[in-house]
Amino acid sequence: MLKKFIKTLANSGLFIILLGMLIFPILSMGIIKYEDKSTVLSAEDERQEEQAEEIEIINENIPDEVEEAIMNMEREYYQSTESSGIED
Amino acid sequence: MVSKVLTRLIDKAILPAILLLATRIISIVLVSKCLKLEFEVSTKGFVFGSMEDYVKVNSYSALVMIIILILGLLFILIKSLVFHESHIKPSVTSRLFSLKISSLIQSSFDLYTQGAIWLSYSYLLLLVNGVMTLSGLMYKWVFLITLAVTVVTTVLFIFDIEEEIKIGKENVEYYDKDDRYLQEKE
Repeated sequence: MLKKFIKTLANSGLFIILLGMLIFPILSMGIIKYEDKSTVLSAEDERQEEQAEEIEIINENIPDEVEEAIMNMEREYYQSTESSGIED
Repeated sequence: MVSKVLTRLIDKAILPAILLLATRIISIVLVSKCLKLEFEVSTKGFVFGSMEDYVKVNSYSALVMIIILILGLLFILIKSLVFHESHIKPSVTSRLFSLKISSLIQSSFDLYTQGAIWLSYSYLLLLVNGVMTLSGLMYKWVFLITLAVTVVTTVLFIFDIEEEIKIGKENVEYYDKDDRYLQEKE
């Protein structure tokens, strides 16, 4: 019984060695790899610093009609917000 | 105590294993040099800069491996179809002995263990190449060549085994019922 067990164990060991010998050169197919070095922006990318874009407004360059129209629009806006605030 | 077949199979697997591994490494370097493709050698192995370079080198390197596999299988097929101990022609035997290459004449046990090993490599390579082709890591035609080589060599080996079975059936011991010669001896 023990002799049979040792025989089976020895043959199993040999079989595993044989499988290793067969797979070993085939595993070498994975010896080459590639790394894509090109930078691709994705959703994971984030800005490290906030870049505040400053817009210079030079009042001198704005025509009088445009300035007046803007002022009217601002006035209407504030009036509408104030009236809605009173209603609430 | 240990299986004779397993020991012989391991013995016969050493040479093709080393040969295929060496072919893979050498072919990667040579193909990269020929195609002027840059690569880095790191702990990961040979690292290429782009996917296109990788596919190109991988395909041509696998092709070189297949060529080595074809040469190995062809050598065993010639030995089993022409120089097989069981059905070699007397004229071929005498010629081989005169050329002092009688070692080419081999028994079925030797030939079939070698054939089983080389065919196993062929099927494993077919499997790996198939997976790589499906993943887009290898050209399709490389896989088709591997498939053709595997099918053709398998069929040729089957022909030889059939021949062997036929000879085995014909060589059943036959005892002549004519015992006149024996009576004369007595």
